[in-house]
Amino acid sequence: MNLVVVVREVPDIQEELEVAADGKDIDRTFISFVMNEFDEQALEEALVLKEEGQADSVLVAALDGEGVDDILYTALAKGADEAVKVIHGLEPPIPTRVRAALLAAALKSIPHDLIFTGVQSAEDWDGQLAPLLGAALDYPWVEVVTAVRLEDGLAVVEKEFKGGLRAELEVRLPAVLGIQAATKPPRYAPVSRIRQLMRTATLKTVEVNEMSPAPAAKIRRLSRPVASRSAEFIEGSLDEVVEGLLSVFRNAGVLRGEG
Amino acid sequence: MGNLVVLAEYLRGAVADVTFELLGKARELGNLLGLSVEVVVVSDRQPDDVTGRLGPADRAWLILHPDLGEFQPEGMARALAAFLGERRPRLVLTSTTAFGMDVAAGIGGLLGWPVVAYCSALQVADRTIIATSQVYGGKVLVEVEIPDEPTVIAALPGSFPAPVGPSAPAAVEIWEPAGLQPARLRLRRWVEPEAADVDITRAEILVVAGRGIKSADNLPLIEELARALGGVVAASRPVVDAGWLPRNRQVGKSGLTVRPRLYLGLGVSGAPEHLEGMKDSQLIVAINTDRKAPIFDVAHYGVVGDIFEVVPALIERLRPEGH
Amino acid sequence: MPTDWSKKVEKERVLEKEVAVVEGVELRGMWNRMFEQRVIWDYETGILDQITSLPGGESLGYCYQCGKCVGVCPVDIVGNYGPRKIYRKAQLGTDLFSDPDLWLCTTCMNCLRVCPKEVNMVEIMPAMRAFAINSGRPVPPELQKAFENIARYGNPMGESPRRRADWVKTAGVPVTVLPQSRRPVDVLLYVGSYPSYHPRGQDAARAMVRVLDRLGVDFGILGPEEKEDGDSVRMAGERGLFEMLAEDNIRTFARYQFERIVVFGPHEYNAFVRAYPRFAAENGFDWSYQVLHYTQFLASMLDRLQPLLVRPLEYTVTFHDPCYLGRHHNEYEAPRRLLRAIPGLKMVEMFRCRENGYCCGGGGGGMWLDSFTSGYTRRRLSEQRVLEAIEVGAEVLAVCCPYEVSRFEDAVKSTGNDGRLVVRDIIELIAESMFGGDTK
Repeated sequence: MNLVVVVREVPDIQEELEVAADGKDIDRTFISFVMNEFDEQALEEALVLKEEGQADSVLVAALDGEGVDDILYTALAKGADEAVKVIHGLEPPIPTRVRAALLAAALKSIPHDLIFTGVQSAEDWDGQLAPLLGAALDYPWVEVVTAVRLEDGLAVVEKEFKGGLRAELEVRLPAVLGIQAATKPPRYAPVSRIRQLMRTATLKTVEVNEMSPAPAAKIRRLSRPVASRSAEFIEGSLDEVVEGLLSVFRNAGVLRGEG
Repeated sequence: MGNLVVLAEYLRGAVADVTFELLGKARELGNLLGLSVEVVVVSDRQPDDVTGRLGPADRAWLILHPDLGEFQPEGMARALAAFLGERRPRLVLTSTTAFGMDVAAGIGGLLGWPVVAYCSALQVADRTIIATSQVYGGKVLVEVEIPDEPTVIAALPGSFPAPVGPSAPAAVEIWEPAGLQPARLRLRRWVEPEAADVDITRAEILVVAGRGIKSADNLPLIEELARALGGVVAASRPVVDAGWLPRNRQVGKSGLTVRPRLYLGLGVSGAPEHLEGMKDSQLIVAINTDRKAPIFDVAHYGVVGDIFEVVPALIERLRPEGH
Repeated sequence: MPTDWSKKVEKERVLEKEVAVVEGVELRGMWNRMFEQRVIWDYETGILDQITSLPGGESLGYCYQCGKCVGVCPVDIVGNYGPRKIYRKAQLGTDLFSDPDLWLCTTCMNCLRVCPKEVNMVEIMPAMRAFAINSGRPVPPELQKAFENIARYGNPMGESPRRRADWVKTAGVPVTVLPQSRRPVDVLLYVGSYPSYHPRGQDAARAMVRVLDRLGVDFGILGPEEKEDGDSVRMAGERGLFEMLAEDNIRTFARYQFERIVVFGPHEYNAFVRAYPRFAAENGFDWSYQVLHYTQFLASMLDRLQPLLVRPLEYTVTFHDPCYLGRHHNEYEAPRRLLRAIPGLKMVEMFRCRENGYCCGGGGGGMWLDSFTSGYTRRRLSEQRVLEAIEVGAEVLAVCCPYEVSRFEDAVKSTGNDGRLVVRDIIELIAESMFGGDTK
């Protein structure tokens, strides 16, 4: 049973993100990149399955991009068996649908029984990868997966809904799973092991040809939500305070059972 | 030009609130654009109780197939793709929920239609539909122009705060997909959440107790408010240290990092170690007696006041009428 | 009641004759009883061998279980962990690389001070932790997060490196940020992560630059180019991360001209005085800086400082010796000389002070193991220390390690002593006496 974990880099949102001068993208000059946090969960889940003997190997694959080498070496340091970088020649940001097409092409030369990726990423406003990749490969897919067990030719997964309700689904392989959370928190990759792998390990590469652009909504502009530095205080009598709070909750759509 | 189609989030015999929010928004857009509103339910049988309460759509559809009886994300997406591909609506409206995430991008991928996920606003300017989507953990808003072709919109629940209530649609028409490929997914069972294993990192609403709750005796009050809001009780470190709540409820540097849709802090002063674990919450509301408490530096809304006055009054107002 | 020895020793080792004649005296039965030598080495020595074969782990083998360390171990005082017990557990075959005890030592060095065999936990523990981390054993989540933040952002809180010098804007005096001004300075003030980012640390940082400015010291900071020193990271076992930080910092320092380094924290002091020189020598880097803790630097110019301390502070103050300044570097006087120079201030010493000073719990990675450690102690080490300060009637607990302010302030609250004791960095007290006003 060969598991492939598709990972990607995303801008580190811990850093201040600025909108580029043309307003159509974030300013990519000074930002740094990290592994998409949900891809870390997907990798952890795959590694746990391998350690439990449910799977034989874990291969990580990523489209080439800034910071991707670091991400792949970190995945190797955590215990992935192989790392593949997909060379494509496109400039960021790459629409998620194009990512799916590039990965589907690359996966033709990568043996796989089950594909894991993160349930979502910081940049996938144009659709999540798992369903798009499933559609591109004609495999079944499940998003928001929180547990995976492998049985003969099947993955038995738990998909989580609001309030902790879960659906246990069985999925015929090969399939694509969008992982929300691994069974345990992602493990630590010791720096000395990452640095050693950077000196000794090689990243495999697969080259794919440029895909024709997919239909997409056109970006008009990016903006940063207006955030006040300090709280807006709700004042007045007890009744006024309570009404104020309720209207804040209502406007945020967190008040249930009303209307 | 096609219509506006809302995909009903129909699970275990109930239609989710978000469907009515979408219907409300579709109605508003439909009036502006002169388009009719349709709603679609997928099921393996005719659920009378539900199809009778799907309004206020102009038309209601029931996609009927024996394989689509229980939750079947991929099969649903394929059946919907077949249905929608024939009709080419202007917009397909669904939500960024566990249900919608399987279906929205799935339909987009199968039909080659654009998708806009995490949509928090939809408006019309010069007959152009403009969608706003929240990206980068809510730190950036991206405004996109919907092209002149069918587009799938997955909205964040709660984005359209004027939901329409259920009502009877004009008529329910049945559509049966032909040649649907055999199901590759099967629902084995539903697993109900256990009360004991609360995971505060996944709760959408967190009511967070701080040192200001003063004693474990006051926890039932906090729990009552959390229940009334449909949320979960979490705590800052002093409360956990005191043994009033277990460690898995602790927010902060030495606890868990949370990003709920609502963080409601009660008597939480906001030590830097606590802020580290919650500052990215979508909406932060804090109640504290000390106006200078650092929690107010990260809160969106604050109340300077006594939680023992405000909380009971809030619970009173949240209590359903007649109970 | 006579002792029933048969239950205490193995029967086959008891030698007893019905009658034995010793020097003409007849000894019957129990009066001639002897015992064969008890075999004390029938333990599994695998774990012990594994630890003593690690570089730095050798001295664990010297332990002869006298137990002197247990009485002075700050963790044992509030819990059940003690250095002697590490050896004993290893003897009994406990896998210490996966045991909670692996993370409880704060490397405070009080055990080494009293150990007749020089069993050096300050080296053993980091060596064991390094082995555990590098062999993929789980790291407590809080510590893992700190490591990841430090690797990524250069500080344990995960704050943006670009905001490292933001506190300067509210300092009220001009501060030279070397990457911007690129001029030679006399003193490189290495600020450290907590004074750079933690609100209470920033209070101390601002006090520091105001005092230095008033003294006319020509100093600069590295601003966004400064990174966590890595000493506590090393003691917590992430050797690779320490090396990465040391390389980065050594290269950064080499880009600027200064005569000496003054550090805020004892951990940074230990890094630059002990760990960096060794690392530099082993890896072909240059390192020949004069390094001073700020209390040493200010004490060396007390003749200029003292006349500026004009406002009397009528406080009863006790001083907490930081482990890494006191025991690790034998500096007990500089902080006390500064405190005594403040007019009106009354000093009291705690029962555990100087060489036997108690530990705040923050060293050796303890700063990032708070919740983990609290699962194995009756109260936090910081809480114990706060109670000791209250006990001697102190109104102010003076500190000079940036780890301590937030730890102790929190402990003051959690022990219910809010309003009875305040925690101040020495530099805040100096600034208060110099400029008036509450430094907070």
